[in-house]
Amino acid sequence: MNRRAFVGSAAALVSAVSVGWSQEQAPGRGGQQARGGGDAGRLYNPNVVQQRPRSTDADNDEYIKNIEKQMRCTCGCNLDIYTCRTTDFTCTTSPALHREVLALHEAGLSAEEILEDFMDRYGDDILMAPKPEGFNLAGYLVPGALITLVGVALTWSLYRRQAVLSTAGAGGGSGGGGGSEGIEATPDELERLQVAIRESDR
Amino acid sequence: MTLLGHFALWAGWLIALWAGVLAFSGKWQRRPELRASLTGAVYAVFGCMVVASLALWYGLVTHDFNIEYVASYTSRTLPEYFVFSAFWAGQKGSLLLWVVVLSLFAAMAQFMTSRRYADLLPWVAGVTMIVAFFFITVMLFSANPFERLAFTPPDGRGLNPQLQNLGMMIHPPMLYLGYISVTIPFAFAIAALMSGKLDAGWIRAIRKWTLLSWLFLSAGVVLGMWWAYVELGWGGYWAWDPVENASILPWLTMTAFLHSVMIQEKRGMLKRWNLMLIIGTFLLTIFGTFITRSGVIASVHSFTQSSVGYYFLAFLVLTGVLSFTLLYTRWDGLKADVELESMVSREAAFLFNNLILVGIAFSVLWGTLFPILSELVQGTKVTVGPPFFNKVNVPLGLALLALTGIGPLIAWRKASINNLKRQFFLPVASGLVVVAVLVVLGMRDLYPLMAIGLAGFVAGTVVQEFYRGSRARHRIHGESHPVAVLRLIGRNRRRYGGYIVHVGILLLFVAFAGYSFRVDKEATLLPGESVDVVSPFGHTYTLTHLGVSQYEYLNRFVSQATVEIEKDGVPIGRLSSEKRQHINSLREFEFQPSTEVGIRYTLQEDLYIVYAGSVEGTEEAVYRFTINPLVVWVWIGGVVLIVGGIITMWPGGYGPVRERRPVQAGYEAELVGSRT
Repeated sequence: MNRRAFVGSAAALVSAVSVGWSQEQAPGRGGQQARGGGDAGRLYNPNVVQQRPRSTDADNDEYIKNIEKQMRCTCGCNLDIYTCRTTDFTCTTSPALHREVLALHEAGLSAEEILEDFMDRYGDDILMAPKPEGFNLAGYLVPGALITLVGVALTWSLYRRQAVLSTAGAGGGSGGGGGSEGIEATPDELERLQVAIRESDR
Repeated sequence: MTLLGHFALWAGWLIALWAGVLAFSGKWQRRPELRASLTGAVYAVFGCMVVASLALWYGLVTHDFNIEYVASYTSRTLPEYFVFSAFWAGQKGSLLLWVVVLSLFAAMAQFMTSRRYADLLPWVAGVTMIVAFFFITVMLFSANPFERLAFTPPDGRGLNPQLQNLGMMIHPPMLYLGYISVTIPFAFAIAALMSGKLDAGWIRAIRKWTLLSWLFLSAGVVLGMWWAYVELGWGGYWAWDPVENASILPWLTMTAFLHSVMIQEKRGMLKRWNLMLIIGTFLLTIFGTFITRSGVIASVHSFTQSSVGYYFLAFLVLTGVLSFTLLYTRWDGLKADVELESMVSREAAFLFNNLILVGIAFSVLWGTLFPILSELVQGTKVTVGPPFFNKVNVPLGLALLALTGIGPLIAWRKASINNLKRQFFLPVASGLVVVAVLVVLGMRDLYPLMAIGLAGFVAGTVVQEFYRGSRARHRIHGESHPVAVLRLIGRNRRRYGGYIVHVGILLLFVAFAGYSFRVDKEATLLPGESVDVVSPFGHTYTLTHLGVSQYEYLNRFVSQATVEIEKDGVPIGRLSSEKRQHINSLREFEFQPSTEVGIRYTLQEDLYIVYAGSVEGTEEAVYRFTINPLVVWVWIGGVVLIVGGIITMWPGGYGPVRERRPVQAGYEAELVGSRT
């Protein structure tokens, strides 16, 4: 290997290592491509913008997001932790709760265990929807049960009325059939009706 | 001017009290001059409220910071148009807006209602004036917009940045118009009960008012969704927040009423139910106001917690008890003219439609109140958020969508098997084709699949109805199909306008289904760096951070972060998101920095970017990129819904008013040419 070849190989090796190193150093940049990434100049007035930590891979982890979407931010915003930390950039509570979720996840806890841990520390109302147990079951079941009950009662009542009307009809009552005896219309209107029905039937 | 405003409130209060007492004393029935006095009182209250409103606006535009309301919601640097809308930014001003609009509607009801219903008008005046009296009482004794400070601050606190948005200028008044206009149908319902005139007269008298209320409520809800989407920055438009829930509740019951009232008009049935729906809708508007203003339920939208909640609770309970007691006393006079004849009839379909609509309203109300109930029963407050509401309401919503398609296909009175086969074949086939196509394309998610499939079914129903109607006109009158469709709509605006509303609803459901496929990603980028985001439709967006520029504009410092977008490798433009730090005339910061999102709308998917903040005060930016499929169809669906509603309520198109007459079983056919 001559000197030029050696320098070239060494440069390539250094370049490859440095690229690999920089990719390792920036795992949290969401897989973005470094395409002409320049220096970050200082803002003219940094005080008018929220300061944020660099995002990490964990911030985009669907598993973490799903856990956070099941828990409420305790800042009083009514949003879940994930939505709050990615929306209300003035909130300091949701980023802290996010870090707690990450710490528990890194400690090897499952999603269910993380939720249980949060419930132990913050109370049951940390969940965005109550656990379907005990009185909370009423929360889930009452609307559906009531609608079903009314629906069944309505159906039963309609069938019953229908049966009564059918019986009355069979016994010589006027009943509601397909006849035209109930129609209050002029012969001209009836004629136009027949035309419209024939047109519609084609 | 504040003195004048204050005086106008007191004058309006006394006149409204006089009108309410006079109306319910019944003395006007024998003395025409008292009857004229009642009508005059309505106009006078309207005049007083206009004077009070002008006085408040005068205080706002002249920056009279000695008025507590002006100092709380404006500042010298606030742009003029937001000074104008600051009128309804706070509790006190919005109460004044409420009562000025209510008195306007009350005056319009007196002035515009046909003389055929003149016997109802004194009662209507009484009810509307009692409601106005209540709202003025709340202002005078708990939330006076003309309250003065002990000192005059050099500048005001300014308007919350999230309220400095065009959507917020339009959305609250629109929702208020919807809420407030419900008072008029409610007043006619009470008038019918009080006067004992329980025929369909009151229903005809309020036809336009109910449609108007429904239109305003629809527009208010959709505009609220749009505001949440463009302003709040979380990438969604509906979060099942208690205040959002409160806005949808009267819409649901009013929609149920608009359907069930057709049964009363055509068949003389459901008289009691219709009265219950109107009373319930009015009570829900008061309930919505109560939870927005009482602080009893935590919400990001709520006004500051104050004692006005107690007033609203008392009014809610009192109105509910009195109204339903009155209904009970007239119960026997509200029997149906005819019995329902068949389970397979349009009446039955409308009944089930009502069941689902009221069922959804109940489940939303139940979920909204469940935290309070849980605290009472278990001693612990639970959170009831989107996962709960989605679990309970999505199946009900799908059932409603199915009924939207089924209702128009079934004949009045009784449908025959042949009729059903003929009517259902095309819509069912279109729904199945849509599902098959989606399955072939790889969609496996049950609810979105069902929603879009049912939307296909409803679309089939609407297309079939328009096609058959226009074909009949084409054959009878020789009109071209486009002309036939237009004349079809023109001749029967209520029916075909209703179908257009159904198209709006199906578009909304398709958009809701699309939202479940949203994708988001956080990224920290140096200038020149880029990130790829793959959309649910398979497109790859490459987003390159160009940098952050800072400048001062109007009443704020703006930090604008910009990205260059490539879609599947093709440059398609740039998009910016901003951080805004508002300042007052003393160059002091007002509020925390707020976020303005950047949105690139397409029919397929929105690219939604949020500049979350800066890393260590540099141009290195933290972004959240979201791809929202089909969101634009929410706004298109909303517009279609409102256009359909306007067509439905547009004057004319019904022909001369006719008495109800029995319809033939098995068919519903247009008597072409009979309405000329």
